[in-house]
Amino acid sequence: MALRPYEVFDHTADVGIHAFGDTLPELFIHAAQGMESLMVAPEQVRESVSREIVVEGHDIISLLIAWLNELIFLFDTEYLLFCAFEIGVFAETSLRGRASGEPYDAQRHELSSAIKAVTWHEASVQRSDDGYRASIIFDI
Amino acid sequence: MGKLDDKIPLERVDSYRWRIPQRYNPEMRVSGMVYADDVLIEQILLDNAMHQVANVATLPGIVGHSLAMPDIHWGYGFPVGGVAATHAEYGVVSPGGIGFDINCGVRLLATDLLHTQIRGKIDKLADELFSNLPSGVGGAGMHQLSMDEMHAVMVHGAAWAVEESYGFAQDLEVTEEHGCLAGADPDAVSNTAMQRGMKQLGSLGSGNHFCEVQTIEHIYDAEAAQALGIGQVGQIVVTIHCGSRGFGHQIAEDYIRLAESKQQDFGFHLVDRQLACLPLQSNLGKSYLSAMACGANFAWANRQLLMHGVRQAFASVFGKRTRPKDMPLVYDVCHNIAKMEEYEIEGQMQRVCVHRKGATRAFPASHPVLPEKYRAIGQPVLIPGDMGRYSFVLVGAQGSMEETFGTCCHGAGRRQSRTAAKKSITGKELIEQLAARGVTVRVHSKNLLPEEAPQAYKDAQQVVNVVHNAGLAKLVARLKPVIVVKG
Repeated sequence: MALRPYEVFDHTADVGIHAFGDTLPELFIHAAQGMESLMVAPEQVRESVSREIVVEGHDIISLLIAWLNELIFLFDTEYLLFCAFEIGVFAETSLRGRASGEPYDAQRHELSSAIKAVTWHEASVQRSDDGYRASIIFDI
Repeated sequence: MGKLDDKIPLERVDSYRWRIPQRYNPEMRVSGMVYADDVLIEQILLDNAMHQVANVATLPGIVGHSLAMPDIHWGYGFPVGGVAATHAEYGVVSPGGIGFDINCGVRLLATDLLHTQIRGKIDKLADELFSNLPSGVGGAGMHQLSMDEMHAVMVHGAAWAVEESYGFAQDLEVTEEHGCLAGADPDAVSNTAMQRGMKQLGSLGSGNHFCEVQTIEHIYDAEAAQALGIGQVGQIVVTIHCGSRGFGHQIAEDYIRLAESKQQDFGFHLVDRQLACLPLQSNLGKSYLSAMACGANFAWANRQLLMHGVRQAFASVFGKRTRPKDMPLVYDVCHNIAKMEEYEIEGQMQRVCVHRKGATRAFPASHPVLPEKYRAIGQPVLIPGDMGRYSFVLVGAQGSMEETFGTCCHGAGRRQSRTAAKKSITGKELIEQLAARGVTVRVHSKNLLPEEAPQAYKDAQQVVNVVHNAGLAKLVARLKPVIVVKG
């Protein structure tokens, strides 16, 4: 298990996260948790619904962006906030996973940001002796 | 980032212009030109925006300069406040250079009310606007679209909205491109994008989007202000700032991904993946422009619906004194867009694709695309500042045609990150601070409000002074906020 799943960093107009993981699936799960945490504190989200997520990319970064963008799409169309993720099948250019959470409820969820999009600006996935590290900037 | 020196070798051209020479990065095809005064340049140098101006200068087929307006700040790929023209024959279009919020823009409505006449009804008007304009996260739009309607919106833009009785035919005459960019093709748009758009037409969303009731605080140019119908100090006007919502975001995402996967095929080696681009003459490049036009048209329909909501709110509060017909649209401009336009470059007329990423078209008087009634004064340029201080109305000037591909700034420009802004003040404190300045606020999320605090932005007065003094646009009026409605 990576020491910390993710950390948030500043950008003039927007905000970014660094995510960490011992494996690529763990990295992707931590990136998703990091992104959702920008919208709402994870402890405010219950697991009442889940959605299967199947995405493809042309390399590891585009796959990570597609995975995160699918969560934004589900928020935009079904107002779903997620707190738990699993990844079943993982290949470098495709993945099949599941996200669990619940629809946004203005009474219980204190939103701190709404994310418009995942950007490609300085997006990276790097491997070191300590495992994997991803950087992603979001358009707020 | 490309091969960059640590320090930007800025060369001062004059009081309002700074050049980034090509030697800064060997991959730059043209030099950079930044419009700023001594105060703004210091603020601009605090983030990575200058590197991004240099990065944009590496785009294939870029002509003139990679331009930066005085409200520039660090964006993704392009800086926000960046302008680049690429040659129509051998240049590229970069979907990231338009941005995620395709045709984010501003419209301004006039009323014949004076600030003194609405003082007793401010709260009522604020409540009415807040309930009429869906905003905030998860706020469904005013008009839930069927798939057939979605297609009509993509192709016809604001004209679809007028057909549906949201506003009047006259509104289209004073909307950039008459509220409909030609060449829109729904086949170029993914189903995913349409699904995101269908629920959101007629909604403000969140972030920096807003509706503001403002009063005219100062008039710089009486003749132009009269022509625009905003000629009286104390007069009430309304500004709407919004874009294409999730629909545009998804179109951008789809095409940045596509372009990014094709860079090697086109032989491009870009310094930032967000700059991924498509040759204008390629099928994919044409396809992006057709999809972008759909996004732009959705945004114009969106602002048309929101304006209808504003007119209804005024009618319900002030009755017969302010009917919808008594609230004419002054103008609507987009500030995230690419346009095919012609300019004289090195003595020859050339057709180029002008990317405006957080930058506003600013055509001068006598330009043939301007509506007849504004032809003598120039195209209105609407510059929102921040919610505490002021916003501005300018008109385009001749310098924009000679130097900046008919473009000037778009707003105040951020100077503080969202996190830093949140740390500096709470939502409650900010609402009290604004109330003390005579600004009434209605907001969905008090948590989000501090991100948009006035101190998070550059001083819009300094920004517009630069474009005025540099001859890109001319100051007409300064507007002071009275009511702010936000997500």
